[in-house]
Amino acid sequence: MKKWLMWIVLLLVLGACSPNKVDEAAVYKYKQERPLEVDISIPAPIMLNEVVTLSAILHQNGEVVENLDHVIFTVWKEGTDSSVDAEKMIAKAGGDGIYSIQKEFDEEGYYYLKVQASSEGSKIMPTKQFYVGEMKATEEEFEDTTEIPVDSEHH
Amino acid sequence: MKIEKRKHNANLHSSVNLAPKSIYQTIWRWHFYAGLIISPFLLILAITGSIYLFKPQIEQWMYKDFYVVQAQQQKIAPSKQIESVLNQYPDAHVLRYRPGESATRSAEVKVNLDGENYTIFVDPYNGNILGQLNDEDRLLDKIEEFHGELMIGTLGDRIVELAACWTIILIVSGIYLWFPKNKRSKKKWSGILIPRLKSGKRTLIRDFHAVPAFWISGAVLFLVITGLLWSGFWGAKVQNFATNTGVGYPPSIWGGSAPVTTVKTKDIAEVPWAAQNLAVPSSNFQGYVPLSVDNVVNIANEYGIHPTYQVIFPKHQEGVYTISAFPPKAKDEATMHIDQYTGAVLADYRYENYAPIGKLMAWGITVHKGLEYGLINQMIGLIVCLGIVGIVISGIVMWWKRKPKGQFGAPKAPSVKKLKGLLIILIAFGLIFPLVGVSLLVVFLIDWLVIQRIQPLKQFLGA
Repeated sequence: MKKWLMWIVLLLVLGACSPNKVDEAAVYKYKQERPLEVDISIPAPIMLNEVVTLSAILHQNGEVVENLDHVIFTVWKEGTDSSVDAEKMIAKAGGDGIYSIQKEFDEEGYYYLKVQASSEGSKIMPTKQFYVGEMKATEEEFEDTTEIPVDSEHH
Repeated sequence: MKIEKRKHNANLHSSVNLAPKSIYQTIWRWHFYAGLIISPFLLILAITGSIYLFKPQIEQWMYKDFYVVQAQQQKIAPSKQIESVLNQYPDAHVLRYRPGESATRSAEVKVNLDGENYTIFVDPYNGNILGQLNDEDRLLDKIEEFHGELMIGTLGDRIVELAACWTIILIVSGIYLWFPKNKRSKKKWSGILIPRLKSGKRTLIRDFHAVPAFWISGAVLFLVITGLLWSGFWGAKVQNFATNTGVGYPPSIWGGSAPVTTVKTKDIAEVPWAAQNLAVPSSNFQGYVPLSVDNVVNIANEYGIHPTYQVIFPKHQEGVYTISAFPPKAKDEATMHIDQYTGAVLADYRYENYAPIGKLMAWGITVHKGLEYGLINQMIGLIVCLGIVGIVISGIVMWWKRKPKGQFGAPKAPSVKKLKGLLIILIAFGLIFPLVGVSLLVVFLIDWLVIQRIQPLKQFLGA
């Protein structure tokens, strides 16, 4: 009687200690996407009336994405309506997954650059904000301590 | 009365003599104690369950002023709807947005306000606020909480899980006790498949317990197994095991984390990261701008997600937008993760992408909830719940009628420890359901350390 009691305790302890979470690698056992990945690079600082290159490198599945002929760069100034005042350009493919446009700015301020691209069913539309002109020394410092309330609900 | 009693006993004997008597007695004893201990929980589960089954209809009726809007030409953008909520609740953090599945259904914005979650109902055509509901005040959520954890959190969850596991023991032992022993009897089906109405009161009560119990036993077993998938201990372990071995749900639906953004973290703006629900971010910075909820809704619609979906906002700077749809039918389920900066779909899991066991579990869950097959599903669920209530009551009445005054009236039987086969089954069961294993250990310990050593107690319990 004592023997089997010990066995149960042992097995229960083993059972209770079995991994209680989903492995990182489990994701490879199910359907996977091949999302386009982008790295937008914007020179800083950008001076007024100077031609600059705004570019984006595209990756997919660990490889650079070349020969996309419809990568659209949209640039607009903060405070203007992107759907009206924006300038849309088709970016040139420069090889190695780099797509770029040339652009000259004649007004100081914050701008947006939106890059739209799609490849093998993955579509992206990232927007990056940047500053044109001399950044004032009193650039606001932001704190990043906002706690987002946890919303835990099971379906 | 006396004669009837003797007759009954004789009946009992004749029906037992084909099975080894001690096994029958022992199983009866287990059935008796298990039934007695878990019957209150079974009653709670059956009653709350039968109400919760009708959640769609009840909530449609309770909240119809919040749910129903007048259909018009054009809905305003989701970001505008959310803006209208934030105008009224400036301190709210937006957690979720649900666009509404039809032209006459309101949109819902779930927010956190001073530590409490509220659902704000919005008219999607003009942004008017229709009302707010504190999630704590939702009656059906309370009932669900009662059903799942007796309203006492984790301890309640474990108790419900234990009751569910012991219900399996009840079903198996019950079927053993019910199983026809006298095959040559002329009235083959009476007392087995149909109750004997004219064989005395005791037989009647016994038949009103055993016969319906047999009929619904399959359905009860189904409810127990599918219900256990929700349980915090066994359910979580099974879900994780199934996901890890590639046979269950893909990760992030039940267990496992969602992917994170693909952009370089150094390029994420150093701004107070809050729910950026506005079409245009309010502060200046250099870096990636989070996607507007309007884009996310567009993506969901482009990908043909079932219109009952909700958009769950990213929970941190590197997090993702999650589109989650759990409509009545399992085949329409969808979970999609969208990079909050690039808009790339990082994961798109539909029912078709669940592995076989995952599909089975998803279907089981919607059937358990009475959703999969509509009204007929709900009615069958209700019948089973009422059946459980009836079985519990008839079981207790049976015991009360049989119980001699001043005694507990438990069937006397040899200890299960002397019956190797039974013991092995019990141990195996206790290993598959570790909570049962623990409870068995506790029972044996109490028996060994207390009951066997205190003579009056031993006598009273028939141990």
